[in-house]
Amino acid sequence: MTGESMLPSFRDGDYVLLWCWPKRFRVGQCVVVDHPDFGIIIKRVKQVNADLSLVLHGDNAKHSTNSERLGRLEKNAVVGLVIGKVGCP
Amino acid sequence: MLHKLLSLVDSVVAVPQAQAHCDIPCKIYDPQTAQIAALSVIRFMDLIAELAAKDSLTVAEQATLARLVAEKETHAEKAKHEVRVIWGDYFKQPQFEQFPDIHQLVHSIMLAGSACKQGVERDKGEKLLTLINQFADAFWATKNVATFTAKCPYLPEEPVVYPKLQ
Repeated sequence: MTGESMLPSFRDGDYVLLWCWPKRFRVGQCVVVDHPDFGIIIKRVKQVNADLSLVLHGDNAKHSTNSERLGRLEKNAVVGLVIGKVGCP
Repeated sequence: MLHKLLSLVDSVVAVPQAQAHCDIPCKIYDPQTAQIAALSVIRFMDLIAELAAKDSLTVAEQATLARLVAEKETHAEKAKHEVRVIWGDYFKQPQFEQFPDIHQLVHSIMLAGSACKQGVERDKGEKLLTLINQFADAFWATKNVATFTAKCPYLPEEPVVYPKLQ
């Protein structure tokens, strides 16, 4: 992964392991999504709506695109749920 | 160790990258870059017209023509991009309420910018500049900055809306 909007949880250069067949999501989990405007991005789940769509945000609020601009993401936009990390040394 | 191993694998199979997308709200917005890009488009159109007036072109002039066309299109796209960023990132509900027609104006700028890419007629460039000047006027009004219109002090010497900062 690249970028700094998920600091301090994820740093530029970290590798993340994804589970690509998640059935449900919980607030606080990290996901990789294919965003229509921003492409493949990694964000944290801020809200799970009744229709299972997601509202996301970055950990590094100062340097992350805010939830309003990210918009509501359909479940099928999720590439995978982050289940592991290999940190950059 | 594991990271090194993954880096090695990555260099061979190119693992897909996820971006922790960063959009720093630096709050630096200025329509001047769009206005300069539009002026450049007009200038390139003028230079293309100069070449068009010749009976035949040398190889060097053909190369110049190719560069002028490429730069015209690049700057038309840049003008569109700069306006889109201000409209998308700076304008919010209070500004939309102040200028409810701004969406229509931005859409007109997008169309005018595309027309400049498609053609070489000067009036298309002038239209793009006129619309971007209107956009600049609205932008500065949202900041309570008065504006004035003056001919830019360089070619193509077209009218430009400037902020009155004193």
